[in-house]
Amino acid sequence: MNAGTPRPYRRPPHFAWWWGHRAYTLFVARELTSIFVAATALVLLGFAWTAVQGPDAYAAYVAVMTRPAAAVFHAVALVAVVYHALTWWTLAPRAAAVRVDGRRLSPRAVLGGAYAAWAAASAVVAWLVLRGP
Amino acid sequence: MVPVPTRGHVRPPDADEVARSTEPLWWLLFAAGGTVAALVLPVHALLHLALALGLPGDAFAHAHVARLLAHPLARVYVTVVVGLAFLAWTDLALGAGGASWGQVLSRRLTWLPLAMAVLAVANLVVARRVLRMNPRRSAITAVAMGVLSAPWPVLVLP
Repeated sequence: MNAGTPRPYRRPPHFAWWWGHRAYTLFVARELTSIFVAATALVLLGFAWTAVQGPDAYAAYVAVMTRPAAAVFHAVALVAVVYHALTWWTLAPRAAAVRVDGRRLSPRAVLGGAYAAWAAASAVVAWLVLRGP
Repeated sequence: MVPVPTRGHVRPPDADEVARSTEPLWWLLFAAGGTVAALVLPVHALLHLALALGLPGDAFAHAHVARLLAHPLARVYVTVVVGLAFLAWTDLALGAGGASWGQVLSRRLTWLPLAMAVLAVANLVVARRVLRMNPRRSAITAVAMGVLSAPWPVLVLP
């Protein structure tokens, strides 16, 4: 892009730079759970898509989703997505400086609000689905 | 003449460069995606685990599910959750040693071919007024952000 300005040399990191340090390993594990976030989002998309198409398409979707493999996948995905969410909410008070009345809200309050919102959103979704026909 | 690089010294960006950077917009998408994913994806995974284990009875019957999704808000919800959950990957691109917006764009655009006018206009306003980018850059950013968020409604809403 800028041919005139040379960039400082950066030594390429070792491919296993994240191995051997607990914090780094946990961080990379957290980033890798993004794969399950994407997969869960795709499953949700498939759910909505087939349900809107009609009973036949939806029956095929349910048939796939009730296989034992689907149970294993969703058990793993649940752990991954919850870990993803927990690490996200832990980050929230550091990233969001919420000010009320000129004073910064304590990290504990931000975290509490985040967990409350998480619980409320989960409860609403679960109620909408589980209250049945 | 090529200037000689100073060893061990990186010039910090001045205020003007920071103001013209497109990075805040990408971080905004990342933050929105991460928050939406953290809020609702765990309960969706849990419900699907319950479905796989045969627990929820007739909660997943087509009549009930179709009625839920008949509501426009439910469709907007699915669109937003799926779209933003994918955009949360933005941070992987951002984290890769200060990738330029061009690099970020090239990693995203394979997925998303159409522009969404409303978001593009909103981003144009944000880029011009809040981030004070020059017109050309704000136009590019607005189109880029619009394109990013586009085809999910088309997929979900028949």
